[in-house]
Amino acid sequence: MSDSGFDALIHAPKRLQICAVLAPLKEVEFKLLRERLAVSDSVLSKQLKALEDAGYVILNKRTENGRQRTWVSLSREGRIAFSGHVKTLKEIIK
Amino acid sequence: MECKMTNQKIPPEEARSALADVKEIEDSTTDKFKNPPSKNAAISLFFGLFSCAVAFDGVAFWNYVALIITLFFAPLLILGFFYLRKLGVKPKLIPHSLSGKILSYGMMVFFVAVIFSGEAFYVAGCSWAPYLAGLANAVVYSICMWKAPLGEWVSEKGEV
Repeated sequence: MSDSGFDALIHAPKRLQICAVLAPLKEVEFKLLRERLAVSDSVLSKQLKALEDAGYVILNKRTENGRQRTWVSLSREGRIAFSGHVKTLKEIIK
Repeated sequence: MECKMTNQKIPPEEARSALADVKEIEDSTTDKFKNPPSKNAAISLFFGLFSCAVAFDGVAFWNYVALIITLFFAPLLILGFFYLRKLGVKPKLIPHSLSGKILSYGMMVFFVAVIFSGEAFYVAGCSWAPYLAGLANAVVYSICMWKAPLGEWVSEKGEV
């Protein structure tokens, strides 16, 4: 069993859920992500900051129709780390 | 870039629980963007009609049907994209996962193969072949839209 893909940063429950929501999509708006995870703005911001510092997510603030929207997406490194982590979890339960 | 790779081992129960959480949120996210059955049926019907029309090689009436459906569908697809964007999501055209890619490319190949087969059989004298091609594409498209609205197959809840 290989543990090389285990990522302690991603393994935290809320961060794991953030990656799971972002994985099948190109970009998700901050507001929708907050609703999916049922957390407050501050909790989500804190978790996203940790993932952003690790280079796993990309935050894009854009003004659309006079309203600022923050879009979140998984970076290439984030996708690799998330799929590697999930693969390792699957190996652990085998 | 800070990467926190560790050789940490976790108990199988914790891994199982984490995987169940991942699966549940992935599936509930996909479910959120699933079309209602009536919309799914309408889109599949039009796609089936389009497949049937294309398979009727050189028949003027069916050429008009294909053209009208194309003109009707193009704005609908653009509107659908903007609707999802308004909801706060931008879907990927081609999924990143290998299974998603296989599903997407497999679907495309299947649909094209069915249309060309229908056309070939029609030219060879089977007048019912385009109808069968349309029906096959409508049914498969409907199942794919229901089970994989974002390009990833949705399994039963909690299944790992």
